[in-house]
Amino acid sequence: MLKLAGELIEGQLADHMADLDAHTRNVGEVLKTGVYIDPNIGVHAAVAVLANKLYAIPFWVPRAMTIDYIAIDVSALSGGHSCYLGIYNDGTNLYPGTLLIDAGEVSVNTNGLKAAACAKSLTKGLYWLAVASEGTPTVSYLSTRYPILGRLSTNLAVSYNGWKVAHVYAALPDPFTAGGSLVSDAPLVCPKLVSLD
Amino acid sequence: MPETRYVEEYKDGKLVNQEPYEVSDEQLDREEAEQVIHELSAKADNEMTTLEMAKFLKALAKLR
Repeated sequence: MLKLAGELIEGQLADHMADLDAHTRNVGEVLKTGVYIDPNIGVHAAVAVLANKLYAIPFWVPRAMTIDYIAIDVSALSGGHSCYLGIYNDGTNLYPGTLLIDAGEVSVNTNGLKAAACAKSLTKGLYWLAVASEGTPTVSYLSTRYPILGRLSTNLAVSYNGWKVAHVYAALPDPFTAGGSLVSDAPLVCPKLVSLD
Repeated sequence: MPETRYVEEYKDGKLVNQEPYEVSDEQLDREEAEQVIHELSAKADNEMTTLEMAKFLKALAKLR
């Protein structure tokens, strides 16, 4: 850092510290804008979600960013039904907490990508992407994810990828309903990245 | 034959935009195989017919 005449070292230091790539390049912070993102490396598959359930999958935000949509991909429709999509803040011990965004309903009456508008700036941290299902559409999921939620305690063969809790179909509850169970087949919900901030 | 699907964008629960895209035969085959596996996995072993077992194995092979 070269100090120019009239510049304060504190100002230079603040600029330097704000540059995330100044000393290290965290691969988790390297994200393409304008596309749907997911921090996990996993095997893509499809799963039929259950009716009247609320699911949440972890979404870690490695640097400040702005998103504009969240989406699910339907490969087998559920006639006349919809899903609510949204985002929760992190709560206690990796359980979803207060509701950050209810992005509203998307129809799952046809196959294809279903995206709900939810323009939002997010700061670094852990969030939970949520889907509440009215019917039983088959949607994309990752059969393996980075297992921050641990493994089945009896044989370690199953890694958990989210939470599931009973929820009579309606708008997303605030906070996330207590008493959920860990699951290994929570659906894939992806936000669309607008900008790294 | 490839299938046309739509990226549907919703705002406050209302459909505001639709963009068509094509899903390849290969992808449709995979989706069908996943569906077969999902449905037949839910059956009890003693309820599976030989035909269903064959279907199940073929679906598994497709996803290999």
